Amino acid sequence: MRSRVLRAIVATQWRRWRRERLFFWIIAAAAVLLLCSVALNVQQTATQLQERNQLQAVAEKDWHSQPDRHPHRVVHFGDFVFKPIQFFARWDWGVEQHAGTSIYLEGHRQNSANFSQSAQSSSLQQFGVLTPAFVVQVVVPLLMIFLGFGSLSQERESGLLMQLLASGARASELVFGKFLALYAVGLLALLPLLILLIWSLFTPGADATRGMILLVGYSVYLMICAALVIVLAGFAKSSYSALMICLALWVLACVAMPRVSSFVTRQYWPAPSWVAIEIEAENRLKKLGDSHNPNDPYFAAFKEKTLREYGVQRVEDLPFNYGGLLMQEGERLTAQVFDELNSNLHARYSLQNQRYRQMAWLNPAMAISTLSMAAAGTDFAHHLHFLQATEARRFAMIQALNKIHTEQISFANDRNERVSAKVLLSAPRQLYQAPNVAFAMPFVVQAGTVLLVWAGLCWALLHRVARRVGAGQ
Amino acid sequence: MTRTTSSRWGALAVLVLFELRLLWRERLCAAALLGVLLCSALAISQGDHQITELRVERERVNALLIAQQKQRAQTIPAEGADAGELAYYQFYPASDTSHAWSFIALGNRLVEPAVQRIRMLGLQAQLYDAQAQNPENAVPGNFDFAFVAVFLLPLLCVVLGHNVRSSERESGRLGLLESTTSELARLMRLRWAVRAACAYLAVFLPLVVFALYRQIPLVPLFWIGLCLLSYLAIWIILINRVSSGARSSAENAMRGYMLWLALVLVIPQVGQLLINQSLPTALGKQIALAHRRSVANAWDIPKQESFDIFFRAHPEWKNTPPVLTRFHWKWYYAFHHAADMQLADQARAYNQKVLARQRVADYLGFLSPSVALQALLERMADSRIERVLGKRDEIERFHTALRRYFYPFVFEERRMRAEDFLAAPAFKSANVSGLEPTQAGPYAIFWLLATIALVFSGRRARSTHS
Repeated sequence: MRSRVLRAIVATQWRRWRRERLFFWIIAAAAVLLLCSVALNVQQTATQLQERNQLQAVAEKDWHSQPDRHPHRVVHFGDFVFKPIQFFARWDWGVEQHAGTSIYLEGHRQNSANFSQSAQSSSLQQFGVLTPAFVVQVVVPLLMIFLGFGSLSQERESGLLMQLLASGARASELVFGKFLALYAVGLLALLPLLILLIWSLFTPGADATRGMILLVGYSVYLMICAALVIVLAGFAKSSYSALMICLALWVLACVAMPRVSSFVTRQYWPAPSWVAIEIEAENRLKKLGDSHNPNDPYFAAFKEKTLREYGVQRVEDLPFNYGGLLMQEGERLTAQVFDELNSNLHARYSLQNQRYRQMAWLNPAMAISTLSMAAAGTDFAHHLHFLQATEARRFAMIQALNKIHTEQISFANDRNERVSAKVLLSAPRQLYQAPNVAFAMPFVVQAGTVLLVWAGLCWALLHRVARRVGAGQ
Repeated sequence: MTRTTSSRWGALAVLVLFELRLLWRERLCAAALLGVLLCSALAISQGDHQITELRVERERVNALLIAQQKQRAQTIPAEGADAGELAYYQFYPASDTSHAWSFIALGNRLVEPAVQRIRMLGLQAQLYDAQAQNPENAVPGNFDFAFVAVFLLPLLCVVLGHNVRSSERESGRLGLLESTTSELARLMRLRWAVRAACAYLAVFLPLVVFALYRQIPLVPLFWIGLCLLSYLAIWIILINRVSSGARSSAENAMRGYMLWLALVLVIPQVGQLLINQSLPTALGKQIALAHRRSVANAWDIPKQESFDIFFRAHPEWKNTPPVLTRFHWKWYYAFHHAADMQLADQARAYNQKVLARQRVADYLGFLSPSVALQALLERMADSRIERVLGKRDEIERFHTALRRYFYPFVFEERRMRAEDFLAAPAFKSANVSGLEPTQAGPYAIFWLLATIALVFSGRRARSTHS
């Protein structure tokens, strides 16, 4: 292929699109939509961040304004955590719409993450959220169909194709020139992502690598879209039938299939409800042992073991507060049961998501959406990371308080004693650290493989179209 | 019937059959019709499956909680147990509700907990507990009958309708038709009618079959059918309008898809973002924080302060024995309820705020018929925020009944026997019908007027062209 000829073909194509009023308006409308979506999402993220930071500040103030207390009072006072927002949520809001935004951490139980956007939403919920990711995944391919369906077939219908071939242009140059012209227009839609990427370089805590992955992923996706349009245009009987086939595939890939797939995974790999898990946890804990019951076999054995270890006869003679130790043991058991049940539930969710990602082999639009969420840090895996880190924070804090209870409160006068606030507030409250990009890699690689295979397939198809055009068909 | 009319009907039947055959020969149209028919059937069965799953889950959790209650009752000795402690550990189920037609639009049902567990402690700390669900699975949106009607029916209109006129011109028959038939307009109308009927049946027929098969009340079917019919009419007018000029079929199709994109996706999505932005809901989280603060604070302040607030709502317990010990359940439940009382206004304001989001969203229905239809179907299915808010009110009433049942035992320091414990009130939700087709009134009038305006402006435009 000669680059000079390619350039000429691309330039001619662009000139044509610029000149036709309809195409001009289509591109202008898409650009406005994209800019709107970026502006609105940047603003929404800012508002949400501000809201959560303010609430977190209130929670912080509440925590620090605690007087001298019994440590177990602090266990019940607990702590609030509001979910932080990843930098590239501005590009892809992902699960943030449906994920809980606040968790109450307290002793004896694990609470659910509450106040998700969708739990407070209207019937508009079902139309989805306008994000730049949505515009590039769904709207831009439609635009590329509009711009590209007439390539080759229109030339063939008008007889221009023969003229071009006769004047020395090679069929492959023609096909790849058309492809490049279309691809380049699509790539323009990634300019806002590039700006976000540059912005992330100057934002502390933002991971620019994530932006880079997004950029590469979307470039491959748009390449697939552009190539498919050209291929279908090349194979179709007429430009009109090319358009109708492209549009039908677009509806299938971008509108119908994602919904059907998510419901199929929901149906065939169902997950239990949170309430059922809470009840199951309580029933199991009751079976394990009741620390309040002096005749409970588990805790009787625990007491026996502790007394033997310290060589004393009565719990009063222990060098520490046995009540606090009981609290520690109880909390350990509770957390163990909840962790096991939760990990079963989350494994189930992850299985559903894994099946969905496997179905993406049939549909590059589904592949890019999972890649996008993973790279932006807004998929379920990242949400789960937050949930698990928050639970670890809860457990460490509660056990530290129970330890203070064990060591600094006397057994004899347990209920009447207090510990200075300074000591209590030293209980660890690990700030959440979002995982770095390596965490997202398995999902990125999985979806990326799908996209690359599709890209390879499309490349091969482009060559076949070139052969077909060359053969004068 | 005279011979002439019967032969006219016969001629019409022949024409309709001819149009049907024509439609069938356009392979893409036939495929689209079959695809939507299949989607509709699948969506109905999926919606039904999800509603059934939710019902099964509700019954399962209800049974589990009632079993817990019975088990606890067995541990109560003959002379009775401390009612305060019994109430502390006993959770009561408060179930979500659905009715026979809920499957048409799942709305927020998969987001809301199937059952909430309620106990006698502060209500504001329990009311907003969410069902953990797979958030990634929820991202693409619900696949239910409402999706097929709101999203796919207009697309079917575009596919079937964009070339009604232009295909005749492109095949060169239009000139011929115009010169030979004086009844071109009638032919076009007939073609539209045949195609619209096919589109309508593809979406609606599976619902009719399902309703008959399941033997559920058929009245809603009529309202749903009417809503669909008006939605279809709007789209036919719109598609006819954007494809009536002298443009090519391809251009008509593009314009149809762009219109679809604007009305079905862009307007609602932008609306959603603007609502999120202008009606924030930080209040819910503030309530959670404030409740925690109030309950924890009660341990540090004199007990009388909490009692003073509590007695404002329940003066009947003012003269019961005072609390002199460090801990007493009556004090515990008093300060829990005092926290709820202090937050009552905020909780009401929060509910109003959430409701306001839905109200604003409903106004958007005047800008996009898709939003209107989605709102109507979700309202008929009782799958909207109103159900959730109504349920919260019912839970509050139940919580009050529960407190009133336990208070005599707690405040008069009476032992509670097993039969008393088992006789505690249970959560009952009002029977929801949810089907309020009258809600369609404003939309129907507005869209009717809009349609008439469109038709007339179309007439004028055509007459000025010629």
